[in-house]
Amino acid sequence: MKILIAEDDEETAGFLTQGLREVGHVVSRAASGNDALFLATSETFDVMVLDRMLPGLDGLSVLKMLRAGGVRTPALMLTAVSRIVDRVEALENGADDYLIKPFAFSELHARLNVIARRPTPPETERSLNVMDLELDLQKRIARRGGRRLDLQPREFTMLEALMRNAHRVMTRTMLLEQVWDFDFDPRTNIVETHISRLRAKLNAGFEEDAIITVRGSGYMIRSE
Amino acid sequence: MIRALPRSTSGLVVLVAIVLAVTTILLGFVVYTVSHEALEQQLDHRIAVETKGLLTLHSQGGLDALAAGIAQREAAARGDGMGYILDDAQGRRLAGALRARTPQPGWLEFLHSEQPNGEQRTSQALTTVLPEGARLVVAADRAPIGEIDLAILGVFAAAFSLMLIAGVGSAWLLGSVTRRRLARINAAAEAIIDGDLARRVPRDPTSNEFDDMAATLNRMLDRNEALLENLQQVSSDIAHDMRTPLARLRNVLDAALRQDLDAEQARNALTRASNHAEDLLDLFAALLRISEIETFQIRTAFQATNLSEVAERCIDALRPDVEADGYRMVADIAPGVMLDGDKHLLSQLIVNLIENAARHTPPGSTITVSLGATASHALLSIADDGPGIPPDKHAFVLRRFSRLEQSRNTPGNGLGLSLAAAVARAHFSELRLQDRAPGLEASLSIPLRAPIRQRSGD
Repeated sequence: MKILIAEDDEETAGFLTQGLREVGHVVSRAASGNDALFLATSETFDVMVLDRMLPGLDGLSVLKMLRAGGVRTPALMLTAVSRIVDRVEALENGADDYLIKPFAFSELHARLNVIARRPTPPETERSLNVMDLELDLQKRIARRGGRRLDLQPREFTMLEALMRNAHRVMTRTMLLEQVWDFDFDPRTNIVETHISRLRAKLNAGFEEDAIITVRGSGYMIRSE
Repeated sequence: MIRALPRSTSGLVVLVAIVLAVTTILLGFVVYTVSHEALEQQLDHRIAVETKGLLTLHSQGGLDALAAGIAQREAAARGDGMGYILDDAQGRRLAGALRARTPQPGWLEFLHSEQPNGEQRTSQALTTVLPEGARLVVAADRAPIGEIDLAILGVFAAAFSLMLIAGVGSAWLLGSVTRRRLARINAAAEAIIDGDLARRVPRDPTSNEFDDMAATLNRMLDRNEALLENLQQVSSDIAHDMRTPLARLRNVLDAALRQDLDAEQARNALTRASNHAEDLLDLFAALLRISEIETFQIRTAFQATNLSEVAERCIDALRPDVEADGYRMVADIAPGVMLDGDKHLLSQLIVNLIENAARHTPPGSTITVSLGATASHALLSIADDGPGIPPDKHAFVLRRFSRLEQSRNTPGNGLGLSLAAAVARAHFSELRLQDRAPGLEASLSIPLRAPIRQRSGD
């Protein structure tokens, strides 16, 4: 992927650029809001990472101007932890996702993968199919290999999130957001517990584990 | 110290007093002029009527009758201020006792005469030339006009003086009252600047405006003090509670540096160090989050929130873990409780309270989450039937990092309850802890409509 990183802090920018290049992406970096605006309008990127605080134009203004100018490049906004209000603002102004500093690289990477490959199957879709798994989104029925699975509503939502993002890693925090609308990380192992229950229901009577655990990152639905 | 600056209270009141006094002068001048003119006209009228009467006598009986009439009038009314002169064509005096030079025909404003006793007088006079060439002078004494003029001037001079004295007096009084009140506020402010943060502006129920201002200032000071205490506490809490995990992190790294590790062992050591760093970052994040919530800025992003759904989601998320640990979880959630709030913070509040209940009660305990609503408030309660917390420790456990000694060895950073309390405050509510004997109940009553609803400009 071709990625634009707008970040004025050298260390963070270096850490992001290096990490993303190591996993095979092409990275351009802008150190100010004006540079970011220039780069984002003169080249085509698959995804961009905008820091909320940038010298000159701040990240939010850059995003507003890009969206007003018709640039639809998926954007992930980086915000400081002590500014809850910024996150609301970011999403309202056209950010596709946000991440609070400090963050783990794997978290950023997983989120970039999700927003860059949008659109996911549209909300209006009647069913989702991955390998031998089948979700009837209207009747809220899940099947594996044609056999009906007895899922709790929240387990169904979790499976849907995994299947919509087949081939991509879903991190713990992404699942917390999408399944329970939590923007914080509880001390309890909510995600692990629910994944293991879902896994037990999916795998009953099957050889192959339907959910892949990606160490240090999160979970993926088996798609090949 | 009297400061007579134009903007000071006393300066303003002096200004008002001067304006009032000048107004009095103007008013006096107008009254003086009008009454003076009226008196002049009255005098003219009297002279004209008198002249007319005498001319009638003359037309009936000639100069003799006129002279007799004058003599009769002078004899009859002594001291009414009227005076007469009748001269024949040659200027010889025929009648009249007025001792004055005969003036030219027509009106004369000031005719000077002399009384028999030598006293000088000034009169208003009308001189008429009779057909024979004789001259008739009718004069009226001006003294009454002068007296009334003087009286009017006297009254207004007195009014002017009184006005000035009362004005300056009330200026001084008002000024000193205001200064005294302001001096108290000043003294309180100076004391606070000098470090007495608990100092407040003294209240004074006898003065509404000053008391209202004192009350508002005191509320502002309370809020500032709370924020400052919050800041000071965060600083000292960080200093205290960051030491341990930082020391652990250094120990892991030191140990790794001292030993000759192979790649696998090095990776394990680094993983452990990274986990310690992660814990530290979590702690920081939780602290910063509490601090941010306590600024109440989040209120600008409040939205209509279905608290019933939020509560259901939290229970649903935690139930498997909590039940797997041997607890019973009972939910009694009234559907459709809508309020102004932040769904993420409210989720965190509920999750923290449930986690807290599970952490501080033995397995087998029952955790009850209930949500109800009145016409104006949502009533949320998370209760357990565990050992509870002694009532005198309730305030303590709501503070940051505070952990009761028996729970020192359980996981958790001691921020869960203080974060919940901060979220409650941001939602115009207060987290209350009650002893259920046995057990602890954490409850709050959140207004459905936020008292101040503001939206950031978007």
